[in-house]
Amino acid sequence: MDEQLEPDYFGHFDDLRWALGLPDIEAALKRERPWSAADRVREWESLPSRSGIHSDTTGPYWLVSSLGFCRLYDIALPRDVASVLRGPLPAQITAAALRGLIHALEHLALDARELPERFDDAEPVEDVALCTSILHQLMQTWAAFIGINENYQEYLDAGGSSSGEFGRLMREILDASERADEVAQSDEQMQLLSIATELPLLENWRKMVRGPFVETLPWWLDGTLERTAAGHAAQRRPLSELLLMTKRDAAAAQPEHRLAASSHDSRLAVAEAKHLRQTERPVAGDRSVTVRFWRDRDTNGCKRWRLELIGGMDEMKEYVSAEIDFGGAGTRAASFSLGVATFELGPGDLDAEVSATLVTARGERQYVLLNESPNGGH
Amino acid sequence: MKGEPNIMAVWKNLPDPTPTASCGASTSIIVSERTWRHFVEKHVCKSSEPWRDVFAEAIVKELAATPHGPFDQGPAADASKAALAILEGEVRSCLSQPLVLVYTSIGARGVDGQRWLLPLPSGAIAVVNSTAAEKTLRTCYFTGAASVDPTGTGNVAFKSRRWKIALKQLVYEHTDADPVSQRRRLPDRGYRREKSVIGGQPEMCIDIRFVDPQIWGFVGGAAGSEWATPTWTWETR
Repeated sequence: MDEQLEPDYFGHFDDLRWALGLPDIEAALKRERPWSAADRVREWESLPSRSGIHSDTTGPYWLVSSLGFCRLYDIALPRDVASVLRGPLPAQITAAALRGLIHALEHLALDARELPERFDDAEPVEDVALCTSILHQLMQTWAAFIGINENYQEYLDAGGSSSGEFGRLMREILDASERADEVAQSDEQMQLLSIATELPLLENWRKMVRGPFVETLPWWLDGTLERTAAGHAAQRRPLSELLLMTKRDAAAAQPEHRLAASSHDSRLAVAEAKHLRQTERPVAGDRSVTVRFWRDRDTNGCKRWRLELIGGMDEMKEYVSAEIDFGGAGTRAASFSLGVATFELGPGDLDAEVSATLVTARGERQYVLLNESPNGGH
Repeated sequence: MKGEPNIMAVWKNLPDPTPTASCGASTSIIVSERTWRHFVEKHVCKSSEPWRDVFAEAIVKELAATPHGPFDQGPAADASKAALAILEGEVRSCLSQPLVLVYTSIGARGVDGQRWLLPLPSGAIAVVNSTAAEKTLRTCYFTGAASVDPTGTGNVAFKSRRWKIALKQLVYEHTDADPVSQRRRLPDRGYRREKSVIGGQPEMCIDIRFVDPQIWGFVGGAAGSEWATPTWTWETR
């Protein structure tokens, strides 16, 4: 049977089919519906206020949001879906979807409120996902509103009153939406959300929005995030500035350490430095430091050894410098930059047992036995 | 071992999804105590992430009672062991398909290795760091859209939908929409992403690959192949 279904190129038909297959929604749509305008208004007026609406709001919420996405992107509904969705949705389903949307907006506001703190604690990949997750939720709540508003306009056209249950729930939606927007548009949140401008996500959504919606793009698609990103450009460290070596340096490198230059961006060349070993050492409390040994070549092509102490995202705020003791043969100090303290090693250092003292911003000194030499084991 | 990071688990004999790995190659993934602490504290304990739908209620309660550990003694040890076994099963399911987004991560010092992003059957996304030396689980999280269950009662039907939401988000964030057809297409090898996060570590993602493209929903394996929602389900695989 699946083979006969139209392919779901946008990921919304599948959601629609799932929601329409839920027992409550399926039963509500099969029931005899009031088709006259007056009956539709009465259907809403007979709904009890704030009670007995629908026990499951998840299915109805996904139904209206998927429907809204199809309107937003001007995607024709597949035949199997269109044959079921004839006319406005039953009031019971729409009311449940409205409640689902209020819940989704509250969830969104909470996620946006917690974003800065969670971002600071996040692992790589997860940090960006926290930001894009909010944008995905914004898109979905927008789509759900479009799906619901279509039914609301129909209700008003049929003579329904904006002071009734439908109107009351719509006002709740607008209030919840305003609260979510207010949190998401705070300075810190906007700065973090603007990370998405480096992904294809926003541009892709803009490409997909069609018809009247193009003229009324919401704040996350109307260029505001791009302007925010531009405003903070000076604070960013583009990767190309931080790479070990430039393309010119690549030519000087030895064959076994050749640079892999990205063919589609001549600005970029990446050192394939040999990463020899990486371990993690507990330092104090919840904190730990990652120890890495590298072998690569300097800009003159000379072989060099490096030891790196990586504070990591969490600890970046904690450690400002480190002092390495090479088995009593001498100490060297380095500052943490972007969470990494780097030490160039000489030939005499390779067999030493290494320990470190890390210094926090508050001046605390924390000793950690690295117990590992570049050449030796543990 | 003295000086070694504490290891919570080593998941062995997992199918290796690396495109260059030989057919039938296996690999292991290490879960460090640090990762586990992050996972418990920052994800399991977050009421906005539906981990109660993945682990038993009792497991979540035990873990939430000691979010910072220790995880090697008392009820937290049993709860961790049970939760790790469930996560291992999920990771194994994904790698067995294979259903993995693989890319090479370049940091400020050069190639950091590969990252694997796995949309797990539960709808969470697992992130694995892969270097020549070892594979380590870095984190596992639910994204917001996959977490929203407005009923708040753990809608049974919705639980089985979450992985498709996670999968679609990964596709949307790692492919371009065709300007005319609006459809998503499998990127070519030159496609890349760069992030220069304020205060964070800049990263460039190159050589982004959906492994296996057809399991992800792409019509074929060639660059430019169109994507559509996969029609398979975990129950039928």
